[in-house]
Amino acid sequence: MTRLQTTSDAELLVASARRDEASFAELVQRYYKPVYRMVWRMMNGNAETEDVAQEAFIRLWANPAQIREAKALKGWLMRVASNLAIDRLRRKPLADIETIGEIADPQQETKSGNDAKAASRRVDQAIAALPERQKLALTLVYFEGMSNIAAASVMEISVDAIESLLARGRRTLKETLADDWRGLLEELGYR
Amino acid sequence: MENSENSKMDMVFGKLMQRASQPSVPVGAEGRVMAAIAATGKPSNVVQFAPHRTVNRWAVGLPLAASLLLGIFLGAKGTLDNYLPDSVIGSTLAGASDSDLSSGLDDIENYSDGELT
Repeated sequence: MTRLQTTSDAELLVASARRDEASFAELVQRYYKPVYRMVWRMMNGNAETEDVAQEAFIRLWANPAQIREAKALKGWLMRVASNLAIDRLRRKPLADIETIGEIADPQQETKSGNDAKAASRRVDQAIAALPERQKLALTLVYFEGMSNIAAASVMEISVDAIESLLARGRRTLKETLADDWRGLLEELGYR
Repeated sequence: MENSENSKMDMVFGKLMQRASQPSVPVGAEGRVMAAIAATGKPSNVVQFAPHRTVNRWAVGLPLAASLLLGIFLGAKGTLDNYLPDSVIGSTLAGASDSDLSSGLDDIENYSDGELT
């Protein structure tokens, strides 16, 4: 374990503000994955995901001192990256973007059987079809494990508003994935 | 009862979400971030201008406004006429008595009486 790996975010941010690239690389190492995953989900697996995630870190490097409290760093990165992803999608709607094969048409899979892979793609497809704010709320809470308070802070909305977005998102997914929902209830012993 | 129903639904929903695929970060992506940063992080060649020295606006504006008001007041009162040089108030006016200062009304009366041609 290197010295930087045990250094706090606050110290790494201060060093990054002094243009210490090694310290900044450690921050990238710590936070790139969650940022990438969130952007990937927001952009439905689009090939521009890496560009958007990278842009968020470039903005942090431009002025690390703008993060007043180190504990807000992850939330800041998530906010900037999600805003960049939404901007990119609005400029260039998904229909016009060449999406990568990871979120494919689930119909093809169901023909060959209701296996786990097909179920996974159906869920991906249903999430991809959600309105962007519901999708972001669900991504932060269910895929990134954030609390409602932390997710509300990322989205700069109230906790009530994020709960409302989550409820609407859950309802839509439950309706879209009605068959999977029933199957899961049976699997878990609920009727 | 309602709480247990909600937590059951939450659990089922959580299970449903677990079926979603998880993306894998492309190999070398973090390294590409650092390469981009190395490219953008070079010191700028732009020389920053030194900011202009500014004076306190009130320190300048207040005396100027006060002197302007004093000038208007003294000028309206006529006090300044005694102090200003002839070149300013006019040589005729400076040497003239009140009776020399014609308003022009007398000329109109004379004209109407036919004394002026």
